[in-house]
Parts: sequence; C-alpha cells; structure tokens
Amino acid sequence: MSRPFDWRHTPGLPPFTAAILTFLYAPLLILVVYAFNGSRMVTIWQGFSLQWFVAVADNGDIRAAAINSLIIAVAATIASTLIAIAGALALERGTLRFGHGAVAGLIAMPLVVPEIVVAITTLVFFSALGMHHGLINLIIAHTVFCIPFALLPIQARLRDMGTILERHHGFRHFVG
Amino acid sequence: MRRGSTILLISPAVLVIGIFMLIPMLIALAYSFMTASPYGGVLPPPTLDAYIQFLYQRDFDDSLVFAPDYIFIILRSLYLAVATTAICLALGLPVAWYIVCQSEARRRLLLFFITLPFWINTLIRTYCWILILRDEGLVNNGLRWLGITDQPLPLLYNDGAILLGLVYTFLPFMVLPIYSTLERLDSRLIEAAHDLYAGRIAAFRLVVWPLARPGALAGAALVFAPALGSFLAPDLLGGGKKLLIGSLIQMQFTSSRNWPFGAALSIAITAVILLVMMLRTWTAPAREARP
Repeated sequence: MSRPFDWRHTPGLPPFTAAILTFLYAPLLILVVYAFNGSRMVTIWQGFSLQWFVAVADNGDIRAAAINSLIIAVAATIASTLIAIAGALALERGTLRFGHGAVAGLIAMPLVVPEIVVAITTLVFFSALGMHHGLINLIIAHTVFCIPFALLPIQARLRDMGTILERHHGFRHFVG
Repeated sequence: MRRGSTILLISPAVLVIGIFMLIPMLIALAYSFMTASPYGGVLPPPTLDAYIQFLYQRDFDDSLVFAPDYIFIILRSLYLAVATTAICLALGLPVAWYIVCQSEARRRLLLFFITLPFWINTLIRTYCWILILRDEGLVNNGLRWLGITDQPLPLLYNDGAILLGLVYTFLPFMVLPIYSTLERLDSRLIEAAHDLYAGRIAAFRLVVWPLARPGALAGAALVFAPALGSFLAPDLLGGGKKLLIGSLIQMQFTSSRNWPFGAALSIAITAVILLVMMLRTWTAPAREARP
C-alpha cells in the first residue's frame, strides 16, 4: 500500500518558508546588532558598546521628536480605532439600503492611494485652508490613514463572532 | 440595527475620510489646472501647463517639443510596480499555503511573524538594506574577507536594489489576504481531488488556486498601489539617480516648487490605480465579489 496522501505536507515548502522568514528578519537583526557597535563606521565591528544609545538619550532634538511621534501615534490610534469600531459595526450589522459599495470603497481609499499622493493632497488641502497647526494636522492625517487598517480586522472579527450574543435581550438594549 | 443608528455609526468614518482625503484629492485636481507660483503654491489663472509639461518641453522660441522623459519615468515606475507584485505573488502564495497547512497554534505564530514587520517603520526597514548592500556593507565585506572579490560589487543604487527593497516592504501585504481566503478552504475538496487521481500540481491548479485567486487579487492590489507611488526604496536604495514617479511628485513640492505639476502627477498615478482596480472588478467573476 502506498503512503496515505498528506496534502498538508508539500515537499520543499518548509525550507522555502524558512528562507522567506529569514529574508524578512535578517536585515532587522543586523540593524539591531550594529546598534551595539563601538565603531563610528556602521558596518565595521569594533566591539560591544552602548555609546549610541547614550548619544540618542543625550540628544534633545531626538527626544523632542520621539515625544511628538508618540503623541501623534497615541492620538491617531485612539481616534481611528473609535471611528473604525463604529464603522465596522455599521458595515457588518447595519442596514444601509444603498451605497454600501461606495461607502466601503471610500473607507478602503487610504489603503490603495499611494502614501505620497495622500501626503501631497493633504498638504495642498491644509495650505488651501490656511491650516498650520503642526501636530493637529499630523494627527488628522494619520487618523485618516489608519481608519481602514483598524476597520478591516474589526469587521472580520465581527463577521466571525456571529450575532448570537447580540441577539440577547440585554445586549440589544445596549446597542439599540 | 435601525437605519438611523447605522448611518450614525458609519458617518464618522465617511466624514473623516471624505473631508480629509476625498476633498483634498478634488482640490489637488483643481490645483493641477492652475499656474505654478515660483514660491510654491498656485496662482489663479487656469492653465493646462501642468499637463502640457507632462508631454512637451517648451523650447527657447516658446514652441513645444515632444519630450517623452516623464512618460519613461511613469513606464519605469509601472514596470517596477508590476515586477514587485509578481515577485510578491510568487513568494507569498507558497508561504500563505504553508501557513494554512499548519496546526492552529503554529498558524498563529507564523501569522504573527508575517505581521510583525508592519509595526516597524518602512524607513528603518529600507535602511537595513543599505547596511547590507553598500560597498562597505555586509555582503561586500564578507565576499572580500572570503577572498572571492577584491573590488566591491555594485549592489546598491540600481533597479535590482529598488526591487529588493519594494518586495521586502510589501511582501506581508500579499501573504495576509491570500492566507485569509485559503484559511476557509474546505479540506474535503482537496481530498476529493486526490480521490479523483489529481496529483499535487493538478490539485493545486484545479482546487487551491481558484480558491486563492480572490486573495491573490486583493494582495496584488495592496502591493501594486503603494509600490507604484513609493519613494523611500527608490531614493534610498536606488540613490535617486533614475527618478520614479513617487520621487518626482515629492520633488515638485520641495525642490522644484511646481505644485500644479505635482498635483497633475498625483492625479495621473491615482487614475492608473483606479483603472487597475476597475479592471479587477470587471474581470473578476461576480461570485468572487463577496465571499
């Protein structure tokens, strides 16, 4: 008798996947290793050192920039996730009589329009309005960009979850 | 859910994206028909200059000469984006299939490893490759140390390096959608195919691939669009020597200060992407539209 056919095992695939994961992670690993390099030359190894981390911590500009990034990231995450939860509920559980496709298309727009186009059109928009609020502008731009990234996974989860729990009387009262 | 609540819940997303993305696009469209101000920004008189500049060069005597330079930049960008998409598909499909075939716990772990690079800044991920590819980089130093070469190989600042950077950046975008369509695959279909004397290749061609296709198409769209407009990989790994459309757009708003031309290019690239999306919707059979 021949061996039972095991479609879950394709010869060559495990090493192939291992190679792809190496491809994804080796460069990052190299970057991390060289961050501890004592040399001034990035790719010439001169012993373990924490000097670059000290240099980063000492640099006020880098600290200020990191804090700005953090503020933008936190604000955009909170705003886009809240907007995305509402949107996902509406798309997955709601009743839109028409325009379902148009709404889904609009929400997916930030995914398919290239970053540079988003950046440039947003710049044009803010400058046309005379909006120069620095951080606020950046938070808005990032919120827009992040909405589909938050919405699509939430929508997928809602679909998997089913509606059994929601049909419970109390929950229904809660959601309306 | 009542219709009123639905509209209430969906409106923040629609309003935010509509106001801060759709309207800016329309403003950019309007800007592309205006005159460039030498200090950046635009001046009122409407003109087609931005679109004329795309095809023609104004000679000294003010006559227009056909100049295909910008067309070549677009074609080169298209070629690199298509190549990136094809390579990502060739690498991503087997990986997605491998993940689907694993146990629940291993699936989750592998998916985590595929998703993790999303959390790392693209600039940093691209910069890693400079460390590896440049003349004093890891590969060249290694080859010299082994005595294989004495001159550094020109690994950086060419199309190959750009392609590598693009594939590296966008590969997860291909794996995830293919995985999510194959995840729901009914294993009995494959067993049935095997019972009907289909080999591995036939089973893949007749069962797995048709089911993976919607995911592959979604992945292709998610890779192609950002790859077409990318400017980090071309600038850092291509050295910005030969322009791609993303870098060209960026230049119009920084050094060249030609906002209408930059806006026109942005409109053109978005139009190309929308066209590709529409082709995809038209060519995909209706049953693939909603799983």
